[in-house]
Amino acid sequence: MVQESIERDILIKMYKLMVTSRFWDNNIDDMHAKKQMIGMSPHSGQGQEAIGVGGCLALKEEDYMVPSHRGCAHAITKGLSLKRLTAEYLGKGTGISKGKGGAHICNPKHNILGVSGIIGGALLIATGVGWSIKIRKTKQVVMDFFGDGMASQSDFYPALNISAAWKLPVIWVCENNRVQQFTHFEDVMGMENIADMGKPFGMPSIIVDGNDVMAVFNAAQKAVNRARKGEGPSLIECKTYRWRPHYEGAPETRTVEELEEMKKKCPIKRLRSYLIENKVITEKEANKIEENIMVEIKDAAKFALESPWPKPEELYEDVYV
Amino acid sequence: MSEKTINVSDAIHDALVEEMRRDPSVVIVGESIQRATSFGITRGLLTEFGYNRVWDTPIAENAIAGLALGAALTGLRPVPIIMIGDFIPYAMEIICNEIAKYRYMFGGNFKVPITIRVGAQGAGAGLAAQHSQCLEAWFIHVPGLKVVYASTPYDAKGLLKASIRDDNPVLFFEHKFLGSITGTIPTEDYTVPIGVADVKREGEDVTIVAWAFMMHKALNAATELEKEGISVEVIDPRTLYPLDKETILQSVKKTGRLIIAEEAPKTGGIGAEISAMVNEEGFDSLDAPIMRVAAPHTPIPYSAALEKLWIPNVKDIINAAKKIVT
Repeated sequence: MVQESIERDILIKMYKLMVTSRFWDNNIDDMHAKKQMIGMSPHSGQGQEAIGVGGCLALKEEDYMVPSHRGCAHAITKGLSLKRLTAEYLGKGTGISKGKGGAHICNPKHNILGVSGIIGGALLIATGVGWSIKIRKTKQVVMDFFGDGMASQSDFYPALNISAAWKLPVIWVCENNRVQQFTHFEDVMGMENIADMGKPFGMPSIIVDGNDVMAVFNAAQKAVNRARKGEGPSLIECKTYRWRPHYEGAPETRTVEELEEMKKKCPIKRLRSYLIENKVITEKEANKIEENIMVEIKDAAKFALESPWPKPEELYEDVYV
Repeated sequence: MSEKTINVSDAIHDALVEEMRRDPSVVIVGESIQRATSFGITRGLLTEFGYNRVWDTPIAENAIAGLALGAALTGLRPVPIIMIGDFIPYAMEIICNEIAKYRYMFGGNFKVPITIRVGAQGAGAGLAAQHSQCLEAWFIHVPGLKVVYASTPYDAKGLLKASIRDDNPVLFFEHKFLGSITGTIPTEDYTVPIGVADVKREGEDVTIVAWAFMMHKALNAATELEKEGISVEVIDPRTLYPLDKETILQSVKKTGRLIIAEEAPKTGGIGAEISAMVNEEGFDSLDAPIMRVAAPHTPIPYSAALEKLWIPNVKDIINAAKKIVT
């Protein structure tokens, strides 16, 4: 593996965040199955953790981020607490959106914009955030995560076009997991690589292995630096796999063999082996990290379960300022 | 307080200029507003405020709305412009699913101070089915949005200023035949509050609720009806959501009769909403069935011979009034 050197602290952070994302995903699926979580079935991000983690670690606190709707890797990396995340999924008043959004999480304190439930519009919101940064002349950037499904919406074209025409500080990160709801990429897409879509607009458009967190991080850093210097947007296509069905409990359209192949390329196992082989951490330390994270996740689940429901009058609050 | 005479188009222009001077976070964005001037309304803005606050977009109404939302969430107060009302369906996802829901779905974490200027609505210019519609009814059905439609220069200027200063998303509709209508306005800064109707003419026998260009037709009908001994009260809601129910209910209490006149198909229109509201909250005041004057359930035809049949006119309002005032 040829990588530009990444500091030890960041490598360990990557591991912690990816494990947190995976364990949290598993745990929320479990809570949903046990009916401790009532509401929209979780749209699991398992298998795709390296992208949200690698991408968001290249951002500064003041940078903006538009998450995709799968999993929590992006949001926890950018600073959303597990407690407020879990409480939101449970629809509790202590959730980050006071229980009004569920999986539609956000966190304005860390400049995490909202997760939209509609595939498409978020691309244009991210364009607008980039536009606003340019107008306000701050040194911020915005990173937008979206799937190959969103890249097939009509919003993708003006988002790429305008961000390029105005040299906006946007980093487009496509998580191409080759499946849109229950539809397979090759059945509906007229191109093989989403990255090719950025080329006509003159923006750096690269393909990275989305299961290699260090590759994602390095690509994201380059794109962030470029955007921060005012040189415009970049498109990073991360090739990855979705391990779970469209949502928990939904039918699986891929074969068992295909899913097993995907799991052999687990981004977390891959980083773990790298860290141990390169003596960044020992196996024992890795195990300890995992144990601690499991405790945190259970704490967050306990907090969410014990949190009060929103009050009836909150139904009418926050429609308007 | 000194006054001046001005038309609606210039009143809107002046409101934009004054709000852009007042608040540096106000930016405008839309199609062809730099080199052209969006029916004269954005003239001079580029010269005064420069390229950083006056933005031309490609033809992509969804992007205009999306740019506005991204900017509103990050400290600006954008005024996106939909050049012609009929183009707004392209932006419906962003307006109705994103802009309208952003504050609520994210637990009050965000403010969405956007004023969407929806230009050049209305039939009568021979522009056929896709450049003539009045689409404001679509938006009162979406919680999270405010819907404003002024009929006079005073209301247009005051409401646009109030809309831009509002921290919520507001759709500010404009009608292509209102631009040249004149009236007097104060020379000093003022606003017209959102959610407050105006009694444009007082009367005793029948209440006509009408807005935008239809409000002027209602005033003309009132003048004609007066000659026949029918006294008409004309109410302009000015804001269609949140509706000033109280002013309408008070008027119906006095007159006992209600007509709602709108330049759009009757089915599912704002007239239906106001009628239902008065039935629920003011039924005891009614001495006659509520009447709606509206357009037929057809797309708007091109031919002048057909288009004039489509547009609800003064005569239609007079006939409706005569039917219920006996």
